[in-house]
Amino acid sequence: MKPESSVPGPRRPRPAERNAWVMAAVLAAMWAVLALLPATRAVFLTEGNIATLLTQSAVLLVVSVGMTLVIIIRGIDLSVGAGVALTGVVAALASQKCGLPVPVAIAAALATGAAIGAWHGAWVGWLGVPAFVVTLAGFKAFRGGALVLSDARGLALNDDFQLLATHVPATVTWACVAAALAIGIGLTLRDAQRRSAFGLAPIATRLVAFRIAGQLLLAGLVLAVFGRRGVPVPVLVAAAVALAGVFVTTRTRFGRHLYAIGGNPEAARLSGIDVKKVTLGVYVILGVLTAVAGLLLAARVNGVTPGSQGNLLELDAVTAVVIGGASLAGGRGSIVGTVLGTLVFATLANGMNHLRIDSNWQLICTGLILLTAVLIDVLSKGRRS
Amino acid sequence: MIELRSIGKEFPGVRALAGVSLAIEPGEVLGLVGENGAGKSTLIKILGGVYAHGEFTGEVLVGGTARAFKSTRDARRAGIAVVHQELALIPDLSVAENLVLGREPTRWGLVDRVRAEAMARDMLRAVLGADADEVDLAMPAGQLGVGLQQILEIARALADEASLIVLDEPTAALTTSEIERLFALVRAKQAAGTSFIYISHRLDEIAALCGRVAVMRDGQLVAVVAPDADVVPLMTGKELGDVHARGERARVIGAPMLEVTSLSVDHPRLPGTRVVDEVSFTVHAGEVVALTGAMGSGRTATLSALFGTATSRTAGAIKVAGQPARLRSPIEAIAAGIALVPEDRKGAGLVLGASVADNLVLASLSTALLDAADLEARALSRSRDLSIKVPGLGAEVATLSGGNQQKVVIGKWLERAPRVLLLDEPTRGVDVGAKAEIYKLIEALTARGHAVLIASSDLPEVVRLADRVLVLREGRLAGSLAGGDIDPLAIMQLAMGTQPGSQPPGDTVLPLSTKETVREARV
Repeated sequence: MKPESSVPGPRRPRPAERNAWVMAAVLAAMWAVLALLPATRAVFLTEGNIATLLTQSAVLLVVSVGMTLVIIIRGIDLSVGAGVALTGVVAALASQKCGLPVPVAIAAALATGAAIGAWHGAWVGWLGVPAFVVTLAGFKAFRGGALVLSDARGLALNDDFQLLATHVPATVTWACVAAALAIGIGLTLRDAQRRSAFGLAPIATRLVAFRIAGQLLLAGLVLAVFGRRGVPVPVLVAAAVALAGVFVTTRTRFGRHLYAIGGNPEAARLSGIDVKKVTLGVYVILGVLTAVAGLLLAARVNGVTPGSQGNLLELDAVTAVVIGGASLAGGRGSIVGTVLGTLVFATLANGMNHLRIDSNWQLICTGLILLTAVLIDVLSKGRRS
Repeated sequence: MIELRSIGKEFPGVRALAGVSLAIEPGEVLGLVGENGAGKSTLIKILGGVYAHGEFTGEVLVGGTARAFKSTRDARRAGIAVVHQELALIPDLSVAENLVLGREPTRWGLVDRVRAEAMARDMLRAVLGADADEVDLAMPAGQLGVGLQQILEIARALADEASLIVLDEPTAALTTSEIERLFALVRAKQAAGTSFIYISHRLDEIAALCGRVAVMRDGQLVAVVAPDADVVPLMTGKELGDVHARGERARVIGAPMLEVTSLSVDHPRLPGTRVVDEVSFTVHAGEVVALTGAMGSGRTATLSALFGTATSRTAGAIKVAGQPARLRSPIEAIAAGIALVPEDRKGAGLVLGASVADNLVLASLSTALLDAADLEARALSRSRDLSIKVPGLGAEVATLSGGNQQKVVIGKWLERAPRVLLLDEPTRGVDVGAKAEIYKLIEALTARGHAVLIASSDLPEVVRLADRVLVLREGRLAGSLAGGDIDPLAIMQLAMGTQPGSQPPGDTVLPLSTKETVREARV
């Protein structure tokens, strides 16, 4: 029968982690193909192109991190694109019309995002209205709000917002990478050391070395791309958001509660988890991240077009999250997976541009990739239909 | 005749069945027993076409010819119907719609609703006789009591003219009168030539109904014996007597831990009626108190009120460890030192897709930042303490047997060291071996000064565990028994409201399919 014993064996990777490895392999394969194809050989694997690719995926990544949390608790947010427009309009009006300084305008936009999130969280958590409906209403209403506030006219941004679209100096880049690396390696070593302090089976030295090598490799890649020119602010913000997301989902009680609620809301409630508060918190986080994305996008295109800014961003985010291995049924998903999903998504767009594939065909390809990613997931789970 | 020949089935890393051969004669009721994980369910899934031909080794023969079922449909067509423990009704469709599902009568290409209802009525009459007319065919099936839902499934199987009907733990949620009705039905159909495979943990039922008993252990058929044979040693190597022997009663009863005064819970849907009515009792430290009574008597509703999960208005005063407590949510109840092991283990007790370790620490994450090493060390020592059998702490809790899952739910609360532990049907669907371990665990807890309140309909369990028994009837406290006065007959008499020496309890239970049964579904 079952290989039963009360002594725990090695920890098996969770499905989400397994999926992350698959997606990493897919991403590496895509990069290898693009680096070798005659049509893209010269342009793809260049410092400039990778920097562009990452900068263009920054806005999507910021939103996708928040969307991952929402999807883990069985939710969804269809209003993200509209929220991006609304928060952009708020920032533009605050600085241009009201003459407020840029930091205050930014704070106003973030507060608007938080309010949107609280609104959603209250409807979903306390009133029990399905997230799909609540945020579908937001999809309509916030777009309308953006149009009303702006008189349906495009708004220009104060020049000071350009700060959000520039690079930080190379020295700051090196310092940030070094700090992140120090924290990463420090945590890896501390984890290993604390396990032995608790008398647990130690993590193999090889595995520790492997993790540290992975972090060094990642840092090296970042520096190879941005080490000379400095990292663009959107990329820096997106990276910070993603790292914070990893931390929250894996190392906090709040994060653990997300998975419990998504896995079985009733069991979570009966375990004393305040499901309503956690739900509220998750939507507020996504709201704030929507505002961050709204600011980054407005700065990049240097203005706000209230009728179309951020259009369909929510669905791109859901696509990235699902490619990254999250389940819309809840309880499953990871930020690392989402980062990989976002990069697959961005690489696809970038590569197809270089291959001069018509943008309409790009949509078809993206759809097929989404299905393929989920199919891989379904097949790897075996017969669970 | 239906025959299984050297059936084998493997899951990755696990051999679930090996060389099982079994023949079922027409008109026979064959008992099938074994501990959880012995392979009964896998065998039934092969017989019923859940695992398609080719996913297992060996042959299934119907009337002497080998059949290759690709789906449950194929099995149904060959006359094999399985009534699973997890019922396959569609809760939001009406009783009639469920009954005719897949065989809807049509008229001009549209469903003939009148004829469908008449058809449903006939199907139900074939099972329930005249009582069928008491069932509201328009009611959503999900609002019926579990007993009636089961009967709908059997009605569907009979309408398919199944020659073999497999009943998987059919009586787990039935009242005594519903069980009697089911038995009468099985006997009538048996006389008409239908054969049955009857799976149950309740050996008295097996003895009452079956002609032969097949015993499974570790994926193999260990014996086919007469129904009055002692099958427990065959199943486990342990004596049933060990499990149900009353423990030593050298308990130190301490201070009152839970004091309940005039607890009332309104009926969720019927205004003016109560599911718990002015119930008062006390549970002391180091004491096991059992709440028992027929279905719908208010056992689960009482626990819900104590854990803050009642969905309707509650009244009464509750003190925990001498302090008045307001228990309006699980959060408040837990803060007061109360923990609940719910009846529905999978639906409410566990996050099935999460690991054993994650489930064990779920209710006791005391800091906002997690310390992975501390959590793993706690989960590890807890799982050793409870001797939870798992391939690894990272294994999904869904892959564990029922008994081990239940230990995880209990372990989750032990991490918080609750003053009062509420357990709702703690050993339902748990095999004999794990049952004994859970009983020992409960006794170890009381020895450490926890107060334990158990809601149970399993009389041997109540007798085995309780220092005091509170018997509920229709929401009211019908009486209580303590120490040497605790015996099954006395409990039954209190539960049924009969005087000692009058009618036997089996004849006086509430009628089936009245509001009582329906009410239970929502309590």
